[in-house]
Amino acid sequence: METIISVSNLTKVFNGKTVAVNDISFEIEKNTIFGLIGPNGSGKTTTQRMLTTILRPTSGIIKYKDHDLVHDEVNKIRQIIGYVPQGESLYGDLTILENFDIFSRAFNINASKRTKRFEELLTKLHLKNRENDLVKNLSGGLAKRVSIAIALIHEPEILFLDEITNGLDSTTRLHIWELLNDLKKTATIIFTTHYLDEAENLCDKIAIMFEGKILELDEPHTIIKKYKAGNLNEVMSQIIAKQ
Amino acid sequence: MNLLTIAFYELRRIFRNHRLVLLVLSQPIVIAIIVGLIVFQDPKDIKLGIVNKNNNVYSTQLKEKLKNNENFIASDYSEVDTNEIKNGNLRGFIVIDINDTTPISGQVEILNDPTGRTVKYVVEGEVNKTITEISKNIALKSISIEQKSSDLTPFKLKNFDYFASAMMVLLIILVTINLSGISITTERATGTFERLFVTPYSKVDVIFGKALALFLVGTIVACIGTASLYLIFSVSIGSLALVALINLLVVATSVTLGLLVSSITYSVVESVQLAMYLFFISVLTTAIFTPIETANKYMAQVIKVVPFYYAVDASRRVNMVDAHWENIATNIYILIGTFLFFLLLSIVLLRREAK
Repeated sequence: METIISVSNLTKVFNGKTVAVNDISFEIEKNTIFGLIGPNGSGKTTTQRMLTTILRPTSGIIKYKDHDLVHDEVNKIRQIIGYVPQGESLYGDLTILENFDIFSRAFNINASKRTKRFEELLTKLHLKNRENDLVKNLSGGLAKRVSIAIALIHEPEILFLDEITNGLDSTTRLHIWELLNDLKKTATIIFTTHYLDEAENLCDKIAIMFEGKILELDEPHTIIKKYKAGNLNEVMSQIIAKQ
Repeated sequence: MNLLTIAFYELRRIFRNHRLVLLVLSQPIVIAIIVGLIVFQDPKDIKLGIVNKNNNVYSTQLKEKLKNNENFIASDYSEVDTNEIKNGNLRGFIVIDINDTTPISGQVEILNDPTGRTVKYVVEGEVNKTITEISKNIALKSISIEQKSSDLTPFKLKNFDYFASAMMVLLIILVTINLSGISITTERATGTFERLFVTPYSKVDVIFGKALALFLVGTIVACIGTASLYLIFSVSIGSLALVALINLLVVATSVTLGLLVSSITYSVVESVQLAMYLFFISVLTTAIFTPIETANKYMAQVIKVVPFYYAVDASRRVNMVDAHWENIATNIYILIGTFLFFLLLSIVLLRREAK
């Protein structure tokens, strides 16, 4: 399979002393779902923030196909990635369509294509008839769908999701799982989560992080087998007990 | 006891933010020092032009005495040049017109800069004192010197006009610096800022986009402020084009200063504190209450690096002495330079990531 992201010896140190990510390397293949999992403070969000160009790595190399993120190709990379942050991160006093508009214009999509794309996303994410509602009046689940829709506006090749199912009810979570499986056909998905059942069910490959390092990097069932465990929750318990 | 718990943790939260503590605790000291140094003394080092019309022994004696007055920095002029007042180079002219015939008679006429406000009372008092001294020295001869005083202005000025011209500027700063001061920090708090920066939007797009929108809002505020002062209090207004130009530059400068505040602060509360801090410093250093001549000599130099001083000065000269473009061009260039400097600095210092 084609490698779409290649990370080598990535390190992030805050204020010269706090090592948030410590010399990690991994590769992500095209049209797969890759999960970054681990307890709070393990470095998964910092890793994702470096991959999404929000944070500059202290050292290491991140390559998107042929583009080198660390060296001057940031704008090319921003054209091909979509990002759904942990919070809603939406303009509450703008409508759904206005939120679509402000983010879509960054990608220079022409007007007719934009309108068509908005229609597609409203249908795909079940937001039809709510497009003129102010975002601040939406429920958590609806707002999350708007947030995902915005990340998909420019049809990104890679989609980053940061703990997007946090605080959502089980039905909404299932809807989002279905959506991610559908999106996998056209995009590579990288997501962080606390829900290990989610990682187990959705991910083709996972990286288990602990204190800034990757302790395990493989398919979920292979890792479960290696630890002779019943599921990822048991794996995580064993890892934490060992450390 | 519940209220003590709330109070304890409220204090703990405030004092844990060292930047906020510095901002809050330094305000009373800094502002008290600024006020003390601004309203430091009776007007001193007043720049005046002296025209000696007759050049006789008595008029020259009076001129020399006035030039030696410790409150004045007086220079000789062959005739009154009103542009020197309109340009802000002089606070007025003293025209000595005394003949040396017997009895000695004549007049001393003072042409005041009304934008100096209380300065003129000092000038009038000192001239009167000097005439009395001269008269005593030549008491053997009969002497009759009349003193006249007038303001250089085509308008019928009221006391409020002095403050109104400054208020036109300060009202704009008050609204725009607060609005722009929180524009980035509120987006950081909601997370939209982080999201914008994962798209191809650049720092220039964000700062220029915000500056343009806030500039339009500030322009509306400027129009409402100036129109209110004119319609409610019939304040004196000079060239409308120049008033508009000064106001637009004040909007642009205060918007970019606000964006700079928002770029360098980490939270909305810090932004508000810093914006209000800068607003008060701007108010105090624009010579709104007393003329610059009352300031301590070092403070007077500090005031001259505060950009809004030039805005208030230009506004007063346009609205009170009908100054024209050539009289306020330097002030305009200083405001343009400051606006560009703040704009550039807010782009350079804008952080993509949240602290």
